[in-house]
Amino acid sequence: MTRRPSLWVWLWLVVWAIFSWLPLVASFDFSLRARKGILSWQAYLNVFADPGFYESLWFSFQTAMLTIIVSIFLVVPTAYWVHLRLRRARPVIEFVTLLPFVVPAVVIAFGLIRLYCCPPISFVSSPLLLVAGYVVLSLPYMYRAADNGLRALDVRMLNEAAQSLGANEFQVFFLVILPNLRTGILSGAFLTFAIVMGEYTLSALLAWPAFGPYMQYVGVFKAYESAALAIISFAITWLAMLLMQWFARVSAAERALTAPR
Amino acid sequence: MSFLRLERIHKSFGKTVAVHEFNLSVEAGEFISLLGPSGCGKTTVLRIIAGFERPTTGTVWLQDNDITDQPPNRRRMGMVFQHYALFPNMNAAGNIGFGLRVTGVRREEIQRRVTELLNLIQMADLGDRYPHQLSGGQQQRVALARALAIQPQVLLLDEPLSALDAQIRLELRAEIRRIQQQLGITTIYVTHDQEEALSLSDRIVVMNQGRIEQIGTPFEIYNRPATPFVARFVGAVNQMRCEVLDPLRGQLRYADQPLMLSAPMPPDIGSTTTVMIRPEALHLGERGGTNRLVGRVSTVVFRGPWVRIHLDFGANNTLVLDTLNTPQLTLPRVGETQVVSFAPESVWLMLNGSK
Repeated sequence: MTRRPSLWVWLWLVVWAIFSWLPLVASFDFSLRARKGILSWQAYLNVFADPGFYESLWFSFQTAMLTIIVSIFLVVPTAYWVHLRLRRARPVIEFVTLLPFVVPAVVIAFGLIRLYCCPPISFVSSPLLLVAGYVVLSLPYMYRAADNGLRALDVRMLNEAAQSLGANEFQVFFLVILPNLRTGILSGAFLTFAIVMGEYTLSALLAWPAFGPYMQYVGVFKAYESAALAIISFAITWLAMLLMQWFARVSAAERALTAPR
Repeated sequence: MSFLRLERIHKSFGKTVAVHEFNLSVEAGEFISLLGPSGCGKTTVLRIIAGFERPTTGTVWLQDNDITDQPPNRRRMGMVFQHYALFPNMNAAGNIGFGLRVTGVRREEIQRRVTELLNLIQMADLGDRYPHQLSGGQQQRVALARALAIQPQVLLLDEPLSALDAQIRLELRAEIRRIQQQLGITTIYVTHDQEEALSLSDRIVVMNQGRIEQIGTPFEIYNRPATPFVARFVGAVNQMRCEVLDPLRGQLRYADQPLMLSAPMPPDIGSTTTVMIRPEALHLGERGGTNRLVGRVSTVVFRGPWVRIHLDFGANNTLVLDTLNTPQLTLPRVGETQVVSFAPESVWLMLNGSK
């Protein structure tokens, strides 16, 4: 469009900007006012000086990595199998993967406790329970990422081509399909990372020292530090998103040229 | 004994029958085309040979071994797809070497073989290009080399040229035939393009609605079509609706003009029938044969090496005539009366479903 956007467009743009950014700007501004009367980084310095910050960050980071790994091994082969053999089951699977959006985290937490509290499977006191909960929470994202990646390939044709050359099912999956899903999986991984880092309900209810509960705990006593933590958490999420976008863009061109016409 | 044999292959998907009673014997080194319109079952037959579909009934024999239930990755049949199906995460060399890699061939041997094949397809210095960096024609060449790398017993091609431009199609077509003859690999080629089938094949299987209409050499298919479908599908053909005058003498009347066949018709043929003749079997002037018709020129289309003339005989009877563009030719003018002659032998009688 060579015509300059009308005034209305600008108006809506400004309204949206204010609506989205004002809370963030306000929080940021608040986080800079730890020292009375001047703007300073004091709140941030206090946060960085607190060992609890690093401990909770490290715990969440480890949990996120574990979640990502389990998620990949669970979700990607499932998505592949559904694409290849169970096309009719697709709507059902998609519905299931959307459930975590609908079911509140509180319910998931209690469900997990109930299910895994007693023999035969009893690992309520293990951090793996938290990972299990996170895998469920990140299910929609990971599945969608794998699903989108698979849609961009003609999975059936590549499978047949590989089989006609002598490859068995494992070789097809690991040598042909998986490498082509790399960017999709990475996107899913970064999304999962962002979710786990900021997650509160599950970790609080299952009583684990994750980053989310730490932020909440700090917020009870220290207002400025809490705002600073919010900004830090936001920055971490943003970084993950940027990396994800960068990876996606790098391979989008490749995919566009090799996808079947 | 034939190299590859399909015996009474029948395939249905639920209530739809895709392939009826398909029988075919292929000799070693033969180039066979499966030719027919979309939905005729030719791709289904190819996929049954490859092992991607199981026939509902029937057997596939390869060198006297029953391979009907053998999984596709054990058949050693290279396949080339319409949309290339190159692996996007590997370069050309990687794609070509894939079949060798998964069967555990040593790295030096793979390297040697890949170089040899890149030379064969005339892409020696493009081995490290990725599929998205190659043109359509180049991608299909790589796909061909990839299928040949495993030294397949049978080479299967599923409309490999359909996705390419006309010019590239012609080049690649010649190259496929050259390579196939050089290596002597038994080949099954699926296409809906009759020109491709006619120019490439040792034999053609013309299919329609899951059935074989005719199996023969390109010459036989074109000059002696066994059914009206084959006559219409392969090359152009004129259909003439005629009155039957004398079945035993082979006498007909077309647009109120007499017409003779070279053989008698069945006595119970009825009062009207349809006969067919190829456009190139009709000749301008009196000297093309003992049959003679007079019509009016309605269109003249100059096509370079030859000329296509449309003639009107009244009452919606039109014929198409093709003639070679020779220096002595005087092009008839639109609206002129023109005499057309042809031999009785070139007129084909069309009986219900067969000729």
